[in-house]
Amino acid sequence: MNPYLVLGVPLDADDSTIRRAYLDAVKLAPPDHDPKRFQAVSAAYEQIKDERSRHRYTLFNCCPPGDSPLDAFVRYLRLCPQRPPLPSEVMKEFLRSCAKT
Amino acid sequence: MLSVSPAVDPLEKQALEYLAAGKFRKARDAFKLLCKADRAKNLPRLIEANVGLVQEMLAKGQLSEAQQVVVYLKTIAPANVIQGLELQLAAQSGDAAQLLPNAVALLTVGAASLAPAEKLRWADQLVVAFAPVTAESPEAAQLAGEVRRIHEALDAIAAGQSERALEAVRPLSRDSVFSHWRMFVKGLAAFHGGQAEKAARCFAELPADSVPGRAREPYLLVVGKTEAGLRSWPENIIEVAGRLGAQPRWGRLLTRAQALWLAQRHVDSYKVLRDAVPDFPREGLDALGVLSDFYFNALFTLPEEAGYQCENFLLSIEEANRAKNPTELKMIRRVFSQLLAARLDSFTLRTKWESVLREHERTHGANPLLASLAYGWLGEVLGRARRPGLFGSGGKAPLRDAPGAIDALQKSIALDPANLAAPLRLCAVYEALKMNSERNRLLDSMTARFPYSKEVLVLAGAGCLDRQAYLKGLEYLEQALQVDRIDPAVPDLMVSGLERLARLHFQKSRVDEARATLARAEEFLIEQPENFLRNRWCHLARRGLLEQLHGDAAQSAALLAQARAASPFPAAFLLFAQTAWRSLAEHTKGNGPFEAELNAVAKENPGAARGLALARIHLFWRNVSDSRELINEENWLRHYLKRAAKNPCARDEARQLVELLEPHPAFSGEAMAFVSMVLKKDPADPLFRLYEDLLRPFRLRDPENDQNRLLAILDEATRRGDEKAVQLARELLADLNVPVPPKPDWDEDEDEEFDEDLPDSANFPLPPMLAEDAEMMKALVAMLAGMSDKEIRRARKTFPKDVPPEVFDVLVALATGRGPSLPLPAPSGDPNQMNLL
Repeated sequence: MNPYLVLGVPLDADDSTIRRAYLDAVKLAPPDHDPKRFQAVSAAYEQIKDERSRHRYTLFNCCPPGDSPLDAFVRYLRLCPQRPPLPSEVMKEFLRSCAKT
Repeated sequence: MLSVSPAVDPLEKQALEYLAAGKFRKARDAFKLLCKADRAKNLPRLIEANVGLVQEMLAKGQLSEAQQVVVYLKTIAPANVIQGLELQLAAQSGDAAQLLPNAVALLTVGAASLAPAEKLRWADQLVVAFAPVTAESPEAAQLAGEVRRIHEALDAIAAGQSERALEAVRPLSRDSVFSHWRMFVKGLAAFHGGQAEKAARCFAELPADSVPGRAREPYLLVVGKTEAGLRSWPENIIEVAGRLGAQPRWGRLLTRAQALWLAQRHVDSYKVLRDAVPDFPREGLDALGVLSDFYFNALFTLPEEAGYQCENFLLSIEEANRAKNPTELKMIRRVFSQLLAARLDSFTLRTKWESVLREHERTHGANPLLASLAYGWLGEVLGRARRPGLFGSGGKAPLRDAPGAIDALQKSIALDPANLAAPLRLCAVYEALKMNSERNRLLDSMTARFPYSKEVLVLAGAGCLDRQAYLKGLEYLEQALQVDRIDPAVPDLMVSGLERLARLHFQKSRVDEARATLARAEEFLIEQPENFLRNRWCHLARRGLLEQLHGDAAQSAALLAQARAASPFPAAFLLFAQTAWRSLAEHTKGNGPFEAELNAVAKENPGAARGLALARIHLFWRNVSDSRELINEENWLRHYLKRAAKNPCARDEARQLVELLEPHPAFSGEAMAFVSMVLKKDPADPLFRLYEDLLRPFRLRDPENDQNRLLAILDEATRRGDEKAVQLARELLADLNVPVPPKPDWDEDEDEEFDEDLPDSANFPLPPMLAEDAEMMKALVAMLAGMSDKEIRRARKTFPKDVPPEVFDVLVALATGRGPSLPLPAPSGDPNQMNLL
């Protein structure tokens, strides 16, 4: 997945912003509590920790962010900071559709 | 479950079969006829067929047709059957007025007779009708209250008031038919409160066949408890998942794109988004950016055929100037420059790659660091070696585009002098082109620019040692040692440099300086038996020989005696010292001082373990000197090994010896002797049967026989649990383009470890042979076939320098019928493989 999204930093973030985001993310997901997340955060940091790494990522990143379009989309959703509730009407419609399934 | 019992009437038999097969319409027609003959017997079946038909119609959304059948059913079926069907009809058509009273009646008056799944279904229908439930009894009032609470909770969730939602469902007891809705609401509250784990736990408790059980799916996707992976999902789930990440209106598009992707229609899948979304593709940290990344980067992972179709489509866009936007053009060029780097000619590659750079600069501004990386990559690609011919490179490194590589790398260095990778790569290019002075100048400038880069210091140090600038080289290596005291490569080089400097001092009669230099090497000596550079006894032996050749005889004798005593066994010392003497004294002919003793020990009882140690010593020297100068020692070792192969030895010792010798055609006969010895004891040993195959003289392959033989070996290896043999057999089968059977069900981690053990080329693929190579080879083989052994030995010494001895040995093997097909690559990272002396 895109390391900027994993760390939650903008594309023009500088070294210190990225390092701060990395340390914050590690605090939230220390290796003994959430090793999977820690691994993802560390890998993301390695990819963009300095300017040269970031340019390298821009030019040579060749890792698709998922196994399928939907998988990539869902992985992106997991990184979205917002979790807005469904509007009431949307929720009703959704539950009705689940009843018909 | 219906069973078709023997029936007298063929029509009845047929009708029962229809019913069992779910062919309700035909079953109904048949039972209608049968009812005329025996109504009492066949009426229940007629009702059953009609009920099945109604449910089939409801499933297909044929509501009016279902309604007609229900009207008919009312004339023959009991009321409770009709009530259930009418409820289903009402639920399907959203007819709350019809549904709710009946559902309430079912869940109150008729609750005792309802199966748990039915209760769930009607409870869910009451909730999702989202209409007020009227209560005509205390039980109904309770139901109505619970439904109201659930609605209130769902509204509260929608309003972002999780606490209120939880409060609303709190009175719902565990025994309530709506208890799963309470859990669902708890899950929703946890989800929106950022408690993903708690949400997942709540959702996990929901019955899968309930409405909340289905509605949890998008939430589980978003919290990462379910993977979207390679499967299709209903549009409503995708849409809601998107909305939960603030990405509405993706449901329809992604459902279609996903379906096409899963159907291997990758181009069409891309087109769905390309045609429907104005900004797609684009760069950015949003869903569009991620999906754009996905489609372009997936090209690196697609199977060949699918990738080829995508390439064609995208290249046609580029060629016809039909790119949708500059980002699409840039992405196409970036991906294809890298994907097709090996196939494009240098000019096209450079043009495409520079256009990527220009486009990036146009949108993001010029950046020398990025441009340096881009040119560094171009130089690396252009500086890659071409495929070597049969006889290797013929002395010159055939780079793909040497001037282009040098130009790109120099540009890269100029753009970003701190980009270490570029000068390192340029060094490698100079080395391949044998441009030594350019390489040395570059290394010198690099040591000034990167004084703390161990890689640079080691390269510069080794370069200085190669050109006999020992003092400077040792200085660089000292600096490298300061940077990294752990990497064994640095002390290996230090010892080598110090010994070579000492030898120079000895040759110039500066004996004291020579001894002082050798004394400096002491601190780097170790007791690793297989490191012949820094092993103490090996160092003592070389030191003793230097004293013997240039210094003091008494000191020499003492040092050699110490070396002999410290060596693992006499023959090891003698072989090492004899070969070292040949190297240090530059005596390539005649007997050495240890030859007589060596011949004497060879007559003792030789064994495989000692043979292995001796072979390692000999191969160490072959790697650091011209193997043609070591023909006497090679013959001695071959003789020793042949005798050792006649004595019993452990399978593992034999395996190690075979693996060590196999890459060296000169020893193929000896390796084969050990293989035969093991196969004599156990003719079905799969690993040694594979080694036997690999050691056979080069011959025309018979794919069918090879395939059958390899499959049989693979079976045997799998049966025995011999992972190494399984891996090798699978690689050899893959090399024959034979579909390889699935891996045995061993522990996955062990397989991965094993993968790493074998080099990629362990299946010895023969390189494709050029026509002229083949002709030349035939002529040489014919010439060698007519020679005696003595003539062949002489020819080996006088063969042109650019024909590597290994290739010569393969030719001899072809001519004489002895020897392997192709050698295993030498393991990397071994200090004894370094050309140091």
